Amino acid sequence: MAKSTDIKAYMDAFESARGTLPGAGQAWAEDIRDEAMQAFADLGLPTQRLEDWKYTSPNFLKDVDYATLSSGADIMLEAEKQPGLHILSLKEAVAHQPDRIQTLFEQKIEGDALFHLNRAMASDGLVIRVEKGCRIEKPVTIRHSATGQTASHIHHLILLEERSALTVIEEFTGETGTNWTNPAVMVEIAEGATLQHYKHQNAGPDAVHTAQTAVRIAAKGRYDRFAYFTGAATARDDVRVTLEGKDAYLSLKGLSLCKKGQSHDLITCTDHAVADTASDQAFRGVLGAGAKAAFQGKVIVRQDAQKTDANQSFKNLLLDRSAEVNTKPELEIYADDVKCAHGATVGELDKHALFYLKSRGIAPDEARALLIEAFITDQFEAIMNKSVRDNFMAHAKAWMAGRVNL
Amino acid sequence: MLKIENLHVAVGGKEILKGLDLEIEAGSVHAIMGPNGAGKSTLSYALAGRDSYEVTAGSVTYLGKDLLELDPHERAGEGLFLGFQYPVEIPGVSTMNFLRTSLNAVRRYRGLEDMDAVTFLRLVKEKAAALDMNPDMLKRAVNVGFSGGEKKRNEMVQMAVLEPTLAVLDETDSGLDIDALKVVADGINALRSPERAALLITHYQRLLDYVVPDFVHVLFDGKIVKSGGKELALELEEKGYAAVA
Ligand SMILES: Nc1ncnc2c1ncn2[C@@H]1O[C@H](COP(=O)(O)OP(=O)(O)OP(=O)(O)O)[C@@H](O)[C@H]1O
Ligand SMILES: [Mg+2]
Repeated sequence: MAKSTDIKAYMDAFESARGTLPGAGQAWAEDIRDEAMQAFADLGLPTQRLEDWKYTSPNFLKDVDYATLSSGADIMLEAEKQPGLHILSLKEAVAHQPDRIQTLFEQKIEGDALFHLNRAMASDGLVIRVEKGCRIEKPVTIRHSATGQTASHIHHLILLEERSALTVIEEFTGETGTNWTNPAVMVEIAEGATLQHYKHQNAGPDAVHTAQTAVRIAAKGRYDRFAYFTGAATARDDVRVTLEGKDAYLSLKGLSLCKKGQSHDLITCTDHAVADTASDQAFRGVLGAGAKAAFQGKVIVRQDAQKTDANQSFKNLLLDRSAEVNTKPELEIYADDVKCAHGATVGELDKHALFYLKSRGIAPDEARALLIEAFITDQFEAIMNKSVRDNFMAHAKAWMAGRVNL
Repeated sequence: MLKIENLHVAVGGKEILKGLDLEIEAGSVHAIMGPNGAGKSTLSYALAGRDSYEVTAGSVTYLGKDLLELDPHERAGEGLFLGFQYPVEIPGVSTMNFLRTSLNAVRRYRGLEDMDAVTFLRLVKEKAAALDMNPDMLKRAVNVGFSGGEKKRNEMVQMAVLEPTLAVLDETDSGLDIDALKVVADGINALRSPERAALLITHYQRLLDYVVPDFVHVLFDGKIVKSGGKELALELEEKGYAAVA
């Protein structure tokens, strides 16, 4: 199928859906959607020639005719009413707070065709806002589940006003079926505000997950993210963060547990736009036989961003030689007084540690399991929310069971 | 209890042990001394069954069994314990979890039930206290960020919990301060019994003042070149290996 035909199918689908999408009939919303669809059409579907798509095969877009599929994603919100916390559906927000939503909705992730497709087709999502100075205790959980052969473009907006705080947990699950989830999350963290953002991508075995997250952090703001990737046949997590104010801090962490038939690609772009900001990134992968994972982390330090402190580390554990992992740290530094460090390791289980455990009577399988668990536990230490950490750990233990010999 | 005959061990294709003989009776404590690189740690690893230590000739019989036929964890199950010269750091595994997994693995090997959590906790606390180990360290990852002396003490806590039949302690005294040396020596002495034995690898006479050995051997260039009583250690300290070997 030629590329133009593919795009045409998406454009046709857009035309037939647009009357039902949030903001239908409102000129500003229609304009944004038109512009987004045009941007998508201009860029075309991604190919592996694109740097950001180097390690993800976009073939899934050809295998299934996603353009014509209906949306099949359910969003379930779990949040207690708390003073200062406001949650609306995208539809309600577009209708009731057009000005605020317009500016957020206009934000773009340049060069990303699937993000533009998401904006054009966005059928559902949540708009979460925390008022100035309100520190929300109980986390907000968003559960997404996809069924059958469907395609969904969900668009969430998270807005933290000055000195507010929030914890958001995103979960993606799904049944068998080649469903495609293409979500976008736009985050704005105002001065002194803090967002803890946890994500568990546990989509169904044939699923495709291509997520984009764009975050802006103002002075003294803080964004802590942990992405735990275990599901889907093909999954991408594309996170772009701009540190826009003095003393903004970013912690980007993630873990991928990847087995045969799966490909996980975690992509980050951190933009230190001003002086005195810091970022700390650490990603780990545990790969079974035949699994494929990639970690690409780009750090940009702008000319004025003196005293930037940026760390990046990638550690991967290969449980079998047939696993494939790529790590690509990338630094673009235009300032001269900066501290940037990065390291990447790919290895099998530590032989010395294995022998040490065996010498204490622990059988080889149990010793391996203990070390894999340790590698995972160590990474989960970055999660500040205890119940999230415990849930992820319980899930990881189940994942490991039986995979030790792979 | 342990009988090593004509043991040849190669590491990375290089022969390190070149026909070593040694016999250890139940109830005895043996010390091995010898210059750096003589092959002392190689002997300890070969006994524990480390992969890359290839036994090219000879035999090792332990409690009537062919030790070399057993996997490392089975050797531990049979009551062999190696105190490492360089204990390994294991990030992400708490010392407590490590001790429990290890004790229960050995118990299962011997056909015993897992020890219940309460009894285990009491046991570990008691052993750690006896070895002057701060109980907070039990919560930390195995040996991660431990000082040299703390690592050695941790080896001794493991030994105390596992109560081995034969303990091979590779330079457990190195890196210990004077007080710690005394504590560790007490730990070793506490395990002395007619059914057990110990093989101490050391460079220093001092440990042997506290744990008095029945026999002292000199390992030189892959072989035991001289054996004697505890006075041999003093002689070595005075004259050096060259004169004795
Ligand atoms: N992988 C290896 N390849 C080649 N030679 C090795 C290897 N490992 C150890 N050796 C060599 O084997 C010899 C014996 O080492 P070993 O560690 O047994 O000595 P040691 O008697 O314990 O010394 P020390 O008193 O310093 O602890 C040394 O010369 C060492 O360099
Ligand atoms: Mg040695």
